Amino acid sequence: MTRTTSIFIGLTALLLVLSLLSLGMGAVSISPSETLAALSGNPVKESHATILWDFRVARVLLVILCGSALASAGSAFQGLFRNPLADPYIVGASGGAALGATLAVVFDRTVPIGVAGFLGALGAVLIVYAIAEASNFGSVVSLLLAGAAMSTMLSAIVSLLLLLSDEVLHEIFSWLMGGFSGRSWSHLTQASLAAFLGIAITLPMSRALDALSAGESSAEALGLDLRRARLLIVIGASLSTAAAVSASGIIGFVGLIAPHLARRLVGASHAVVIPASMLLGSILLLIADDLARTIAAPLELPVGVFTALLGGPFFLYLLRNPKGL
Amino acid sequence: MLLSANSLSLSYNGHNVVEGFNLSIPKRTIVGLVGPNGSGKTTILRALAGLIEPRAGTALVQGKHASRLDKRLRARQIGWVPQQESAAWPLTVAEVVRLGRAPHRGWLMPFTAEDMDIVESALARADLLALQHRPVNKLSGGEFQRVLIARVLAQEPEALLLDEPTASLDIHHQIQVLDLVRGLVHEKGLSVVMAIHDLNLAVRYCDQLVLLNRGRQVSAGTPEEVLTPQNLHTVFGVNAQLYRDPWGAWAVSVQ
Repeated sequence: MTRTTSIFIGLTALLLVLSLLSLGMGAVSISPSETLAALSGNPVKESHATILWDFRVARVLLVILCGSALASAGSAFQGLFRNPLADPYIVGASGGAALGATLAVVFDRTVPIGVAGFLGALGAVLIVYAIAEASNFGSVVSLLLAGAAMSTMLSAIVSLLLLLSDEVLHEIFSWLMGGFSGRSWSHLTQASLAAFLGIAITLPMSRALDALSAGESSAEALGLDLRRARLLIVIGASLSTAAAVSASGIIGFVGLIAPHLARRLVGASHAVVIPASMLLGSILLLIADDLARTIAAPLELPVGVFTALLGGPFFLYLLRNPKGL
Repeated sequence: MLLSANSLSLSYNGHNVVEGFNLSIPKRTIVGLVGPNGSGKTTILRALAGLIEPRAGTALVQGKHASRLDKRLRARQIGWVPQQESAAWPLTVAEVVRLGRAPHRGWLMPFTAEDMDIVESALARADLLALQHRPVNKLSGGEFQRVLIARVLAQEPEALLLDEPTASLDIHHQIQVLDLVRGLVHEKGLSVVMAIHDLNLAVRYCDQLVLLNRGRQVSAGTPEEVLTPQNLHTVFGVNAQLYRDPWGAWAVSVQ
């Protein structure tokens, strides 16, 4: 068994254990053995089955889905921009998805939230990409400046929309903070189509992303159709980002950190980086969500606060030493 | 004729850097592009590789416009090695060299045992077997340059475009890489165009030279036809001439 295989087995096992523990957490605490019993159809108490199947299973699956989607998008954006600081949040995809989703809510959902979020994410990334490309493409500074300007602008527009439509203000505000509070099966089914599609587009781009590591000219000289590859990568990553954002609001840093941890563990080839990032993203987000709902229980804090608290220092560390990982 | 350039004029960053360049590269031949910095060598190679669109004139691969060919088909015919490349991620040497098989295998299909054999022999020929699991960002400049050579060997193209392939190599590896290229030319009938600074290496390894100055072709032909004392003086501003070294090969002596 190779080192990479054992790492994948280890990460999968960790994710399963964490999921089991997460299922047990909440106002009614359920032990791992009771959880297993209830899931396999022989609940110790009838209420366990209701609590798990009606609320917690959907929530845990949604956390895993969003963690995987954000991590997959993060790996893809980092590879596309050849930049270790790229992630769905930094390149404006999250902001674009948030604006799209907010517009959908403000206009009474004439367009489904997921579709509006995808269009918003795609639009924002294409603009940031065009700006970064025009001004010395690939340089850390131009990407970060373009992304920061875009995110600030998008969040300003979102704030303006919120001020102008006060009855949905609270709903959207708490959603934008990022969190899984009150999420259930309907959110899961809505998000999973876009997330699976996004990941299904991103994974086959692994070899193209490896080639892009050598720079665009070298990738093209190796036979890569740059335009097509870039477009597919942006579409795949925007779809996964939009899925996560429309289900759980803006959750920063998961998409940034997971690919870095993955490269440390399994090497830099995207064929292993993307799946390993997805596992790590799910693990990180599950931990953040567990913290969010237990640390001030019964009050539930937005999970985005915890990913930012964990990820912010990590981001600053990378900024200080971008080639360090 | 696999590769040819006809009245090729090229721009780089909005500046006209090459005017009316003509070249046809027969099989089994190494053509050297020589000239001072900024004479347009790199830009010409990029155009022959189809990576840039000419401002005027044509760069043809088997009679078709290089920049408009199907990318994978083109990559099976032409291998381009840049002077420098930076790796965004710490892929291993073997992973980078394996990408040379992408034009053959495509971007989705897993690499086959045949691909792996070709990669292994490319690694061996570039003297990289011992380094194959090393991340490429942990290599010296010379080691990295050999990785690029190995990758283009794995690519198995019919023509090689090499941009200063020996610039960051020590003398042992300079000779090794150029011997390797010459061996491939004889063995597989490759056509090679290389930009090369070192005139001694140029006269030693190239069958033909093209002397460039500020984007214009000054002279073309065999090394002794091109590197005349007068041309060397006009283009490089030095008093120099070719002579036979103790082993009977051409070398350049500067006063």
